[in-house]
Amino acid sequence: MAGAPDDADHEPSGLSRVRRLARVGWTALALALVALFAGLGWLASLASHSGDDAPARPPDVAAPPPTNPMDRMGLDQNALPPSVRAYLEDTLYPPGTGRLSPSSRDLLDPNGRYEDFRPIPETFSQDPGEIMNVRLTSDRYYYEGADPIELSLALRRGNERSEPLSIDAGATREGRAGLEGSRMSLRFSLADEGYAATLDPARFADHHGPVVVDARIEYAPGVFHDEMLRLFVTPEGMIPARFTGRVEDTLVNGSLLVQVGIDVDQPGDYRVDANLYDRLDRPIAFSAFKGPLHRGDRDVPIEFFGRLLIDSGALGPFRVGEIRGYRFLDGRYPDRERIPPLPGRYPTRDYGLASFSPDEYMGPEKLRMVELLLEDVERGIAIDLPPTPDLSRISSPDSAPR
Amino acid sequence: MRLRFGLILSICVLVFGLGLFATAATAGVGGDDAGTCVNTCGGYGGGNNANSCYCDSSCSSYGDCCSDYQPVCNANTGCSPNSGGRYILHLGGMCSQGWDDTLANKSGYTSIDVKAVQTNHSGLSDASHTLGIYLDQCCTGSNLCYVVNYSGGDAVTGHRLANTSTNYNINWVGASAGAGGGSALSGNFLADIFGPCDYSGHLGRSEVRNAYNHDDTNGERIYHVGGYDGWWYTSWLLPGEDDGAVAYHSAGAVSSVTGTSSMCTSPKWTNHRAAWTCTGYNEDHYEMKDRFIQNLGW
Repeated sequence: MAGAPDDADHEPSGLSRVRRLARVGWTALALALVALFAGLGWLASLASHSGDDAPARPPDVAAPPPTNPMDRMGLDQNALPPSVRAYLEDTLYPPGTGRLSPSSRDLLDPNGRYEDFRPIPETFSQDPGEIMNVRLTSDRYYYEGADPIELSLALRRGNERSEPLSIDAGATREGRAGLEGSRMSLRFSLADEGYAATLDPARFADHHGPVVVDARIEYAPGVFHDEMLRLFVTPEGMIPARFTGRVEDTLVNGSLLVQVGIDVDQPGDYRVDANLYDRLDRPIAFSAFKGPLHRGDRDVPIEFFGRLLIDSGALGPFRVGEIRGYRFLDGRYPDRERIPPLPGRYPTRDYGLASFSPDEYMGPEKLRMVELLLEDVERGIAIDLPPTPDLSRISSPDSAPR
Repeated sequence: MRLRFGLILSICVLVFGLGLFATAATAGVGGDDAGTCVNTCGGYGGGNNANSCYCDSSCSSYGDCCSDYQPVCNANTGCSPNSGGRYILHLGGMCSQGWDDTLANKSGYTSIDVKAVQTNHSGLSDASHTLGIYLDQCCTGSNLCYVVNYSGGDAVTGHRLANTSTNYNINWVGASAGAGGGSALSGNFLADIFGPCDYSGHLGRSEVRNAYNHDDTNGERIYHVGGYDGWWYTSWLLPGEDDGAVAYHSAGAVSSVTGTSSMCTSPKWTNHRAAWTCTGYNEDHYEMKDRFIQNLGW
């Protein structure tokens, strides 16, 4: 059985691999050609990432037509087994990257909250106008350092604003085993849409992790309802790194490489995310860095894949925004130390679409997966994709093709 | 969390009266808070019920090992690394310590019960770490994997994939009644009836949706099925269709929390898709557990 191409301990030479694979039929021939292409592509990619910028094509020149490995090798992609064909079609871009749209709420508002008005069960009624609804929320989920926590509480009877008779609120830190320490009282004051309170994270000293806000609301004389809310604080002393504000860009191997400056205090495994916008501030792509960072002033590389930018049809200069991240503490609780996000958007140089490579992504793991899927076909144990619904027959207004 | 006794009592009576409490409480299968060996190998189990199980070398002889002792402390997952193995990993849901149900029976493939503890306040990060041990052994080198998860296992899978830079050999992931989008029944006053463990209070929408980048599956494709046989009181509290525990915005991997009656509603997170039907299934949360396996004839 063929192993991973990048695993030297288990791999025969490339030539012997081709000979061996050639003996097992047409799928193996396709596999060998894919392997050859991918290997060369991978090496080229590595060389490119060693620091040499690829020369930019002149801007405002139409991008070359998209290509894929199978087409360029003269192979009929439709002749491949369905499982392999589907896999190739679904992996045009590198892992961890993708298209961004105006409706990608999670990514455009990456630290948002999702509380809505919610009915109080004790007010069940056939008359919607009699149902009491409550919403307790805050301005975001994660807080770093001395960032004040802005809380809001609102009450409605039906759709009409209602005033609680009393609010007894507090906040308590939470650890791995549950609530810890004493409950700190909170004072809600009248605000535009209800009631508001500000919580100073310094009241929790060096607590790192969740904080639970609770509120007992008297919505009718002697009748109470309890709400709770969880948020997450990373105290000043636990911030593992800080963005320096340096954001630079270059072209590498037909992709846009953004380098984000970061001053690392605590080495470890980091995740840094960013969004990309076009010249009109339309969201077009997301990407991330995941990997180890050592102590000191570093550049975090975030690649926006060339083919992805071409497919988006976006025009530069681009702008990089929502730069945020954390040190990932695998298996620990809490499992992250947050970096204060870098505010603002940072313009890139003006690249024409023709600057980017139309080639689809081809990394060693993709080759490996193709090998494994072809092996399953040969062995008669291939598993197809679960069927997806025929969306052309769906008339529901809230249904749409993915 | 302070809960008003009268409210809880009334809701519990209500639910018992409908004969549904058992279904709601066993949504994840596995029961009460349980200890875990994550970060505690060699001693007592960690978590809220720390001393109920052990993670030392003699626990096997005493029969009191935490359920994740073998994978976490001995790296024993049942998979043979880089052996050409073919595996179907089963990851259970909220309040579970494993799949604890029928495993898939697929020729040429070995089914693995992922012993990840999802019961404590740290359930998501603990279970994600444990799943990582399985993926490292079962789904790298010359091995090939499929992952089938249920309920909270959807969030655990998402957390792991978003935080790893390892490119696993996973062809696709099947998620039944996924809680990756969180539930309005969790993280608030209803958490105690949403599930019988502390982790059930940590699957609120804000908490889960901020726990990891749902658009980063590390390139893996995730297929979702959901049920709509919820109950009147959950339909009152959850937007759109629901199965009594999660709404379609979660089961259908929708990137907003808008109520919807279609599993095909978009926008979805990147690499997430509905499978088989947009309508979903006339099943409640518990009945949905094996839906993926049943549909595939495994």
